[in-house]
Amino acid sequence: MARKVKAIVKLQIDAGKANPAPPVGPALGQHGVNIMGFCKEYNERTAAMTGTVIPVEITIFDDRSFTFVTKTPPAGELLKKAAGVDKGSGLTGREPAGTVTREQVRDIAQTKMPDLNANSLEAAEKIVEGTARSMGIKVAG
Amino acid sequence: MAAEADAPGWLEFSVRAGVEAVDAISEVFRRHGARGVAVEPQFVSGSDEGWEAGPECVLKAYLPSAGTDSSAESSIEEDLWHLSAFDLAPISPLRRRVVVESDWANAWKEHFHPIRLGRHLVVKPSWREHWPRAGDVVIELDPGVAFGTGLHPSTALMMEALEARVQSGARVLDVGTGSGILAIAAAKLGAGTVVGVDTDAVSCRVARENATRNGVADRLSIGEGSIDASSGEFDVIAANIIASVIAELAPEFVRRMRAESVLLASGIIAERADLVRRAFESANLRILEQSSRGDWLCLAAAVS
Repeated sequence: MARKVKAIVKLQIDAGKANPAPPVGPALGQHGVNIMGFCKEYNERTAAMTGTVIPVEITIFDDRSFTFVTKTPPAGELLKKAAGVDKGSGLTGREPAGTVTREQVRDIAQTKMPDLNANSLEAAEKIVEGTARSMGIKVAG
Repeated sequence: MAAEADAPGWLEFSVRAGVEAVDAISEVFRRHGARGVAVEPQFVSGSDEGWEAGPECVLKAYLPSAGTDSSAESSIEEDLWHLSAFDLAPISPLRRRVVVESDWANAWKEHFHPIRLGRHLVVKPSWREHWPRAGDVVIELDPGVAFGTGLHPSTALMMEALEARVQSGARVLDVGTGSGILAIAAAKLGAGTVVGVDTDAVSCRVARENATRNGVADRLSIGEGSIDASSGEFDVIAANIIASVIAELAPEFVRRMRAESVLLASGIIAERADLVRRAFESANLRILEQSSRGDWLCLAAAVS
């Protein structure tokens, strides 16, 4: 399998529900990737996790073939789950949509470390905490 | 804006951001109804086997243009602005463009046409018509998740080499079979037995499907693993992999060869060819022929 990487695309999409509509269609279409082939594979691999956002990193090679790996859910999803809410409020600093503990923030930061380009767990925690607060989720303690 | 809102299609919103801000920004897009976000990393350096992601990327989210008015845009803008309080704001202003609804499920197929490789080999996507000339050997292959569509120079070189080297009834081994394109070509060129191996389970499944589609499943078996997933000796060994793996496997290839066997090695980028030449020399492999296309080399070798 001689191959050169042509592009890498990451998609944050719902597990088990990929279809050719945006963002999948435009993101992969521009690279000439077999879109239905991708959707079928992704949906098969993530079927058990329906209801969660499962990001996927797709590597496209110079003969337009591709491979992909699934990643951990985005911090926003993990925070909503930890706070037990469906939706962030977006009302920064006002009516909190929910609350998470510092330990929960640390756990999420640990999970997300590889994706965050953070040099330390503290830096990752700061990013996760910022994300929480931006969604109207309070960090207790 | 009114005209845009009436047009069938999508509004694409995009911003540039640091990787740390991706999840906070995608959460904003989701809150406004986007059903997913595409993140395109920007790359800083490249090598022959991969790129390294830079610290920035572009995020794109889509909302149906019907029902999305300018108030949605200003409210997304406002929410993104709020992220600056947490050092998670985008580093570019929000951009908007109209994306016309198109048949994304099929549009990619435009990139694939029947390709002629070597003298008689033709690789044809299943949805294309092809009127074969006398003597044409047609391989039907739908590109998908496994490498080997015939578009890559290393695959093209290998198809030519197989055409020249595979004799009727030959035993052929294809190491790193991917889509199975080379193994199928060997079977169609008259090989008696073909074994394809690949370490990737998905490739193995795709290769089996392609073997069945081309009516060669009776002569072609696919095994999951490296060269160890095969047994016995072969008249032709095809290895379209990468320079470092070919160099490493050189002694293994020799163990599967007889005095008259030929090893065809492709996927070798010119600047790493010396690595392969040295490995061949120490494994007692003598280079018979070399072909190239662009930066890619294909070597034919025999046991000295």
